[in-house]
Amino acid sequence: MPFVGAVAAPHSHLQLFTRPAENEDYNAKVARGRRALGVLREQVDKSGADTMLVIHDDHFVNFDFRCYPPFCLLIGKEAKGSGVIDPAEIETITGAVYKKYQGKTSYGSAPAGMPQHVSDWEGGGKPYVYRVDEELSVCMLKDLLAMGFDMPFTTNGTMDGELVLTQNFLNPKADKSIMLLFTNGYVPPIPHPRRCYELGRAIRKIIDGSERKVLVQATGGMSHFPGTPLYGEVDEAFDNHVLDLLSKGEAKALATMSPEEILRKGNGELVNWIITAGIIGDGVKATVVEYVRLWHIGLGYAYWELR
Amino acid sequence: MTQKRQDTLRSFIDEARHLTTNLNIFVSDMIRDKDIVRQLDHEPDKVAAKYRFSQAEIDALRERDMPKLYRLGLHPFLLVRFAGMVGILEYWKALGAPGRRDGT
Repeated sequence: MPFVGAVAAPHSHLQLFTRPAENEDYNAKVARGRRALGVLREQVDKSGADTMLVIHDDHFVNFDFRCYPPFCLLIGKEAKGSGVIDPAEIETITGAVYKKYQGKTSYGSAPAGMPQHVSDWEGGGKPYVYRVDEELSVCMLKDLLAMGFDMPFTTNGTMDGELVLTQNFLNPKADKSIMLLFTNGYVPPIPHPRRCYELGRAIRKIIDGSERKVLVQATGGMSHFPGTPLYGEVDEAFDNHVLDLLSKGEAKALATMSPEEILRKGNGELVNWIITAGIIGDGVKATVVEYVRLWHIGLGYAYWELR
Repeated sequence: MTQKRQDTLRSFIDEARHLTTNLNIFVSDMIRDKDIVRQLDHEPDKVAAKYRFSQAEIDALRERDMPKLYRLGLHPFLLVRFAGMVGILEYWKALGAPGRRDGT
């Protein structure tokens, strides 16, 4: 049984910030989200996974408008990234005990106004380095192509700060190797949910044929409209509808939506969750751990365990 | 979904204007080379020629006209990046983001 379960969690950097600090209600919501990540971390540990397949939409770090693939698999030995805040603070908040960043002397190397995590760390180094399951990644690439999925690949697996954030919480010792499947969740036209689900089904076959114990991690979501005039709106009703479907084992219904529909709900990143739903398969019920609405995003936390 | 939300998102989701403007190539370059901010303000004609900008595009960039840039097709995610790089830091200040609080 190489497939050992799945988790879905947001990658919002708001989970590491508590501003406005004077707003107790807001801080309490952030704390609820962090506790939910703790529950997911327990599930990851309990699964006995030795590899995590992380499905994450790139934030203009690996790709830009010269080329933006719908999906892209990392092939490499390592994946590297910077966190969204000072590593010492990350360690305090997440409990990450991963010390790869030791020896770095300055955090604030980004030019004015540029997010730290998309810039070079002291000339190109990155503080967080994760071992990649290269063998299974290559196998997955070859098998997907043979199965009719024209999967692009990249050898440059730069992890944006949001992706690192999820690993800080869920793989705090970096003792599990990872695989990275990048998606396009926010540059219309995004991949069709139907194709995402089918891709998930194909990936499941490959995982099932492997001897590695693989846990799948979907990042992102839920409703938010970053950078648009609607920043601050959250479609809570839709988010709760999605979580309801997951809890009933009816995630396949998401595959019937159009890309435009999910984008209009502020849920483009749901593509990561729909691929995961395909991997899990119809009828397997998720445990929804938490849902909180912060000022410009709804955060949903769920896991699937195999019984 | 409200009609207002659909109308607001039309240029982005339905018309995908970001696919047919060089604004996004420009801001993608800007992320990797901060000297481009200086070029925008001091050598606008050169920048406009290099990226084949329309007058409306180069004017909106120089005037930091965010609503107009959004309507012209600057991707919302890169809009936030652009705002930060030209010194509009309210978002990061509100979050108290280290390294971005005062733009230093």
